[in-house]
Amino acid sequence: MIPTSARELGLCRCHTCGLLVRYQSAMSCPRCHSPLQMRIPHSLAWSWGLLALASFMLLPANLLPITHFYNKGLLQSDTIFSGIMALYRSKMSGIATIVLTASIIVPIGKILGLGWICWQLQRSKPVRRKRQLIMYRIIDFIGRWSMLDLFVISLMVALVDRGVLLNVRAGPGATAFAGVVILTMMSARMLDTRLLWDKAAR
Amino acid sequence: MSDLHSVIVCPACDLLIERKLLPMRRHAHCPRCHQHLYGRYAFRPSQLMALTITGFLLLPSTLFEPLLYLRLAGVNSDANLLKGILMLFGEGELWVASLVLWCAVLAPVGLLLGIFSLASGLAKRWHMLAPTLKAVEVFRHWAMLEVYIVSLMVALFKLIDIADVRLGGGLLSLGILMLLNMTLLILFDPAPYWERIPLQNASQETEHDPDQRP
Repeated sequence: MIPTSARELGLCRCHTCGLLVRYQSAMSCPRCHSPLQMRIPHSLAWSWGLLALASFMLLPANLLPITHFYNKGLLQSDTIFSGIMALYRSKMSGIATIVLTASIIVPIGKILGLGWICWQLQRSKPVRRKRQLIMYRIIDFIGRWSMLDLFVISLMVALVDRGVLLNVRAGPGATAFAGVVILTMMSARMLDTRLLWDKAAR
Repeated sequence: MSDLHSVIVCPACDLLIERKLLPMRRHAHCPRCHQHLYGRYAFRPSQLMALTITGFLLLPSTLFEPLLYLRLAGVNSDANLLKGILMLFGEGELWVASLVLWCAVLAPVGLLLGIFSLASGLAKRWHMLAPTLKAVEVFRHWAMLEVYIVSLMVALFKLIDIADVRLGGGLLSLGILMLLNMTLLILFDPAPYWERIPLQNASQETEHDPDQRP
């Protein structure tokens, strides 16, 4: 039996509750009342747009300081990268590698990986759908770990607070980094993996 | 293929698959893309409820007990989950603070509340099954307690050079709450709850049946 997709038979699975219904246009799910769509509408455009915004936000996130450290009146500003280098210098390479993975490799890898999948979906050549779905699942799974740096900031801010003597404050880079995390997670949500199989079937 | 109850569609690749009754503790995966489809879980709602009640009992100590103590130049300070977020709000870092609040506090607590109301039957009694299930699906993606624990360790090692840092009692309950949350995520299956919601205009759907067939 040739594998058939539900769309070929006019069936649609509700993206929210999983109910299978015969599709009519502009219909809402009879069970959970969310709008029914065969595929996420404008999935590729949304993913591309959010990805572009996220990669644009990567610049301030990496170039602007994420923490301001006041020590006896001296201001020391750390970007993501300089914070990691400081950890390497103080012989904590294990922790430094965790932070490097979570705040540099994961966001950039996520953007590159999602961009790669989107690009492959647009090209006329057939896609390697298995490999790309595995890639998508890895991206979806590791994405949450980029929140690590923001949690660290919130802990440091609470712990080190001695007024003018010693103080840690969050910098503008942290806001940009929060933007990168949200935008990449939304981009992964908006990308419809079923498009990979639609394209392979054509 | 006329009976919609005997087939299932893979959410990740849209493949039409025949639904089979599984033995206990077995799970069905998509033959084409290995997406998890459905499973038969060998637990009762009361067990889920017990887990969520344990979570509620742990919440006060997780949120208000210090996670880390810092001793620097003879002065002690401590940090708990809420204090860091409140201080970020105080500094005007609205985005960072709300993201941390959402991922580390609201989403895990919401997950506990949602699963509790589903397992205890309160959601059904209050006619809130659909909104609760939708909310639980959102909370699943954003509950990041395990990331928070690792970031605690990172903060500890960052400060160990300049000050004397000790672990606080809140860490223990945070750790247990994280394990509870992960267990709930593995054990909780929304499908049987969705099936309890009655369908609307089901008759209308069958009327259009013949035209829609290819």
